Amino acid sequence: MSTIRRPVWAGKPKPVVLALKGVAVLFLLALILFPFLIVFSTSVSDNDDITAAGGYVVWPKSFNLSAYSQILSGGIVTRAIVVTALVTLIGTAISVTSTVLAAWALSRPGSLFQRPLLTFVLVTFLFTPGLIPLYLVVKQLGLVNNYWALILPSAFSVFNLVVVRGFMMGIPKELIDSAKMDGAGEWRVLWRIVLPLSRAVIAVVTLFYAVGYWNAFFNALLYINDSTKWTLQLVLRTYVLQGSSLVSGVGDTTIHPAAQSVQMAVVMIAIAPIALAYPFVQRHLTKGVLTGAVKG
Amino acid sequence: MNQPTPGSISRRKLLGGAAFGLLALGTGGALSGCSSSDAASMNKLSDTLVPLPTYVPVTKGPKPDLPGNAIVQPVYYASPANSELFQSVTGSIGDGSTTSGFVVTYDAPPPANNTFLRYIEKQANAKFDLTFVPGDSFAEKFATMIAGNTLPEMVEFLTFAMPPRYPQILASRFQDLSEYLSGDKVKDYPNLANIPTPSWVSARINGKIYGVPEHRPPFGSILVCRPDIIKKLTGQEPAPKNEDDFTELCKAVTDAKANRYAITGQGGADGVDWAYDIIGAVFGVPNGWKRTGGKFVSKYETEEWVRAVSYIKKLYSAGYYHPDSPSMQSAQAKTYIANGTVLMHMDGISALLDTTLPKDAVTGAVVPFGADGGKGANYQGSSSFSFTALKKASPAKIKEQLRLLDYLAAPFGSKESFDLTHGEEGVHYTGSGANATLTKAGDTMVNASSLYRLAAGPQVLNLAIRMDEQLRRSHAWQVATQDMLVQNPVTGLYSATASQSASAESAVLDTMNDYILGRANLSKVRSAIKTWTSSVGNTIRGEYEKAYDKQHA
Repeated sequence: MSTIRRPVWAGKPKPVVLALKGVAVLFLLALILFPFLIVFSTSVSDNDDITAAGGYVVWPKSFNLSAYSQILSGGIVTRAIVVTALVTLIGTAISVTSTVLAAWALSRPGSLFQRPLLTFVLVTFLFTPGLIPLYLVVKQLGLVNNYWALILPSAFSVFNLVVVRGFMMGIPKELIDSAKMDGAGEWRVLWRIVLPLSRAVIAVVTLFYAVGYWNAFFNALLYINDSTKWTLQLVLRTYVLQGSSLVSGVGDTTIHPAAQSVQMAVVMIAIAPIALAYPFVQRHLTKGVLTGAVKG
Repeated sequence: MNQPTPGSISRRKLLGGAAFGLLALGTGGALSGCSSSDAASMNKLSDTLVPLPTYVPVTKGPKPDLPGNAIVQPVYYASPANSELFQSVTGSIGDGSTTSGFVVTYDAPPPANNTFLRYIEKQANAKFDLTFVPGDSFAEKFATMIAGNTLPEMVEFLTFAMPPRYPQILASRFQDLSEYLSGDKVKDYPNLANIPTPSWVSARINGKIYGVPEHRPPFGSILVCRPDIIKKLTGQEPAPKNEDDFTELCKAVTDAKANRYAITGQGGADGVDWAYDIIGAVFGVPNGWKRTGGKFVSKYETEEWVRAVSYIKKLYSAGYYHPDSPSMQSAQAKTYIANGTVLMHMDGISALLDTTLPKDAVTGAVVPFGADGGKGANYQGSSSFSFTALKKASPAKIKEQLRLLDYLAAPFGSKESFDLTHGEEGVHYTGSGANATLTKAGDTMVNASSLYRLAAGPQVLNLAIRMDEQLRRSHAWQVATQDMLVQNPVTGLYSATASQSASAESAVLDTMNDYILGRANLSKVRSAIKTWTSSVGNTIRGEYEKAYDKQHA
């Protein structure tokens, strides 16, 4: 305990209080981990155990990976993972680049058409196009059934622009002025001064974009007709729907799997990459979002 | 983190967009790409009724283990041996061209290298280019395809979830197939003539035939039960003959301390369903509507409806319903049936053939009965899952597409049907007859290719893994119930108001729910029904009557 630095005015905490705090933290931790435990346990249980437990298994009696092998065999999901990973990587790169450039330009009062452009962008934030007009635009651009349809329509998020712009507005003007006096051009100012200072907000926006691309299934549903080009979430969704009550078992020739374990395995596969990436970006989150929010 | 991110389209936005798209379509707006002739045909919906296709059952094929008829499904405990298969299609099928289609799927998509599809294409001399949509997203995808004018040549319409303004959509975009299929003309396509008559009713819209149905038995919902557990508790399998019998049965099997309940309702987006269709049928509530004295009467407006709801209230107050009924999900209810927490639950008939059931569990269905000891009733369903409509095309093209559908509709026991469900020997399946099993390739390709969504032979009771007892029980129930079917007289009639009356309907059901849960009294129920009648009921009635009079002029 002595290693913890404590303000001089704070007394030594009582052991009871410390214990209570510990219990509270453990309780909160359990609240968060318990659903994950159930999801994992159910995903590795066999059908009879799940049925006996009433649908959700807390602690697996058996260890059965058949739900995972059912999903991952056949190459459909692995193919979809590749598609989604590429869409996420390329899409995030395009999105972050365009958002940062636009935010920088729109945060500089003197830039060309700054006010009208800003208003124009913000209007699209308030009045979003409906589903059909969006589809028609994508169709007219010849993007139906094209991977670019998964990136371009959603490449630019005004919300993220507002966040980044707000952050950049908060960078002291003096810093930029002094850089300019030293002979730096706009690009150099952006690259050497603004970007390093904005690392937190860019990390957050990158995460927003990446999670968005990773989780997107609806644009694939609308724009991609060829099922071999489906994204991971759309494919995984079909596994979840497989157990739905609309499925008629009559005449179907395959054996429907333990739907619940497959559904839970789908959840595990879908959240794993995000859950793994999160800790690395998490430390930027509070600062990034707060700064943007207050100055926006 | 709940901020808009790329690709996220909120539900509200989505629905708004879909509604907008269909509205644009309906009014013949430029967005939907409707021509002026489309708009004209929308206003001039047909008022004559073409005859349904003649039913000519295919008599060839293996002898069923338990016989069927036009209503009851025959039972085949195992698949016939390859040597017993018969040829159901003669002559050429396709012309080698590509047919595009739009179908729903409840499977993971097939792999890119789909050798099963190639094999079938070779058999049929045709190429298929199918667009799949997951079952629950049909409406959104369909709306965009209609608006973008990118509909494929064959489109599957789900009979239980038809898109808004479907009569107009069908009339303006799809081929009227009456001249090819109505009456005896269907005999040109023997496998289509083998589809029982009730299934065709759902494909006859505006009095014309617009598609080839995917057959289902005509029965509506069934009361799935656990006869094994009930027998242990009461000494006999459930066979209630009247209202009191059923109450007694519920009382005898319910034991809240042992976490065992007689029956459960089911909650959902449309409100709580307390097995209305089963209890309603017991009390003689009509199947949606009834026609008396030349007038349509809604089920809500009958005294029987109030009696049925009051009976449900009685069962609920006595604690026979599972306490979670108002929020019970379908999957949860199935699990509770499987582990014996709940002993009766309303479900579809295919629930009896659940292959994921624990090995020692048996499910059956309660044979319908009348509250007063009279004859029971089962609300007749649509007898189809969907129908496949064909986009307008030249007669030659339509005939070729119908030949393809005829091939896909090959009946059980035919070589074609076996091909369509098993693929190529050694590649997609091994063994023969009862021992034919799909290989890993077959598992990922055969069903996933979803060809059976375009057309399939009439369903029979047969499963890939043997569940003789379940097949026998389903058959026995069908035989006992076959003369109890009650039709909904508005089947095949269109009411624009009915398709937009969801909120008025849920207001009624919410009040019923409050009544059952003891939060409202009977006078509130009656006033809710009155409100429904005056707000939408009378309009719907008028529209049905107008449509009925037109068709029966």
